Amino acid sequence: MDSCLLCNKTLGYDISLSFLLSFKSLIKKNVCEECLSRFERIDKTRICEACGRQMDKMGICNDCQKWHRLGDDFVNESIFKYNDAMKDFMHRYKFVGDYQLRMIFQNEIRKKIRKELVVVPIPISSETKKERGFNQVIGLLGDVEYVSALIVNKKHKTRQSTLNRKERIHNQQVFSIDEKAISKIVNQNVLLVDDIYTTGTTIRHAATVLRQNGVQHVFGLTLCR
Amino acid sequence: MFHLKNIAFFAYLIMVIIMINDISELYGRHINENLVDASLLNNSIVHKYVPIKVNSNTIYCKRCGQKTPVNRCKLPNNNYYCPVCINLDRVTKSIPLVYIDEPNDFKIKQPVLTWQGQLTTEQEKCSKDIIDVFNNNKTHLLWAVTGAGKTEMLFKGIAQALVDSKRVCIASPRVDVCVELYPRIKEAFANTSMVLLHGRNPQPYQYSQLTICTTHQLLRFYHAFDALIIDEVDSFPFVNNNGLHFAVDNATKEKSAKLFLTATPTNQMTKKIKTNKLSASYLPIRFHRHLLPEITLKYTKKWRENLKKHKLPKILLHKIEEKIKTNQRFLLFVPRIADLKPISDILAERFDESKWETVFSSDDKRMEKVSDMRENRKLFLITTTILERGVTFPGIDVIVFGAEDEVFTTSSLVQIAGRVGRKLDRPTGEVLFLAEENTLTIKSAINQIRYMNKKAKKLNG
Repeated sequence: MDSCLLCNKTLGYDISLSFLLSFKSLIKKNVCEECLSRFERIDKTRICEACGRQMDKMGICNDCQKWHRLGDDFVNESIFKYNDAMKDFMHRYKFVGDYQLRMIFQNEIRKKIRKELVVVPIPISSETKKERGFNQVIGLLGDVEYVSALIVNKKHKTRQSTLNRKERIHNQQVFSIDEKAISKIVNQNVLLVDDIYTTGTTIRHAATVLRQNGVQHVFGLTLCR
Repeated sequence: MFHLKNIAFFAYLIMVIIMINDISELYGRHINENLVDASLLNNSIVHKYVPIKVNSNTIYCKRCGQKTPVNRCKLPNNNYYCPVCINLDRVTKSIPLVYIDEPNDFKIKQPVLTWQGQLTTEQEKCSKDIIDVFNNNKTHLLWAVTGAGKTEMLFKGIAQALVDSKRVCIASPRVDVCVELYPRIKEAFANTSMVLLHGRNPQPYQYSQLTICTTHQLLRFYHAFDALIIDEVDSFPFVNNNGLHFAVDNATKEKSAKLFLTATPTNQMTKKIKTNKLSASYLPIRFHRHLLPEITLKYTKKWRENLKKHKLPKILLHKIEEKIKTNQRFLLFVPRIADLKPISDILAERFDESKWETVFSSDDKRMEKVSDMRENRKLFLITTTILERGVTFPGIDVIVFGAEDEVFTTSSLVQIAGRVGRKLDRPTGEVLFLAEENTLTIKSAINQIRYMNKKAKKLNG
């Protein structure tokens, strides 16, 4: 019997007669309705058109106006709000390291993948990789094809999550290109994927490196904002 | 400037980075090697083992004794982790667990027993059985009614074990039971080193002769205890949880005493007693020699449908009004977390809202609310089964609303009834069950209480 990956309760399936006669396939659930309902989707009719955060109406948020003044017009899309449920999820998935939780949002990410874009995940440092044992973004991608075009610069030791906003924005470039991957991205459009958009510095650093190495256009996709 | 969020996060980082620097913290405990200071690892008394065994389709975790299908726990680059016990830090195949054999390195300070109370004749008899269990490393069940004074009966046995330099643990499946037990045990053994461990507790681990913890925390220990007492063995999540039964064996030494306590044994346990696979002591009477309050059952037809229409049965409203008027403190048990708010909302339209709180298991403010009740700041709590056992509020009544619901097992119903009349100054009280219908579970709870009262009457002569 399957149980919910988040609360461990047994998962019930609604197998009614009408469902059976519809000949639809039973979609395997990973999480119960109750846990799922705690995650909040971003309402796409009122978001910041640049970073994808929830707003009262369509527009450009203050943070993104600052980016625009710096000449950065990066556009990002996010699926969920970073609410308590999402914080808890990220904690358990990334920091505790419960790798099976990657399955919960794989479908959500897959729905956002467009064929014409080359998918590039944000990389993690080799130290984090060693400690955690997996790249959480690649985990979210599931069976989606991707190109590991970026690497984390060696000397960059501090984790983003230990820095505050100001420190992050003024942080120097943290990524560089993997020479072996250049041929796969040159003159292409790229969908850059990360787990979370906080200040936007990480994903913008990555986008800059890609553009400098011949990528035409970079779009951002993060699980939450 | 630091953002609040950053501070919280910083606190979390500190929590994780806490390294083990003191060798005594490894006595009888297995810890991920990367959490132990490198200088300790060179010591020849430190043992190591790989916690994950990989079979063809499953992995086996040696910390929690559970199997997991390979496809659920494989990490990239050929590593594996155990998702079952992950809430006690992740164990992986690539990082060994390290431990040191329990040395029983305790300084005994007299007097060990600082409890001055008296036991009744019946309690004394059980207390002697317990001393025998500890001395001879037996496995034994103590079956005593709610309010029999189980904890006091343990004291002499524990004291004897402590004097003999034994390492002792009292574990319960319920956090609330541990939290309530800790101050009482601390008072009774004021000169003994003691630690309280549970998932919500920020108190750091310290090598102690006496450990009070949730049964989950037992998984962190490795052949540590000479005597292990498990309180409320019949309760969730211990009952029918193989992982926790594994934890009992893993946390205790090969030669050790295991004492199980219950007021409401499961069928499986009674079967074991009947077939002589488990020895048992039995105490059917409360310490104050009054009988258990019996259950009154009233029917509330279609209450769930009515609740959806924002209505509560008259009998419940009358009862609550009566108790508020007479300042009679009580607990109102409901089946589901989702029932708490609608019921509370309806009551708020009629009564003074400051009189009560709602409580459930994952409630962040659960501990505070329980202490609000304990310290008389609230007249009653609306609660799920989470408060069915282990907690004592003097002089309360109980109402179970929706007693027919399957979340109430016979043992939880008997436990709930057992919250009433626990103190000598009010040895009676009301136990009211409101139910859609009479179920087998309700019937057997009523019968169990009657049966024990019959036995108690014989003792009273």
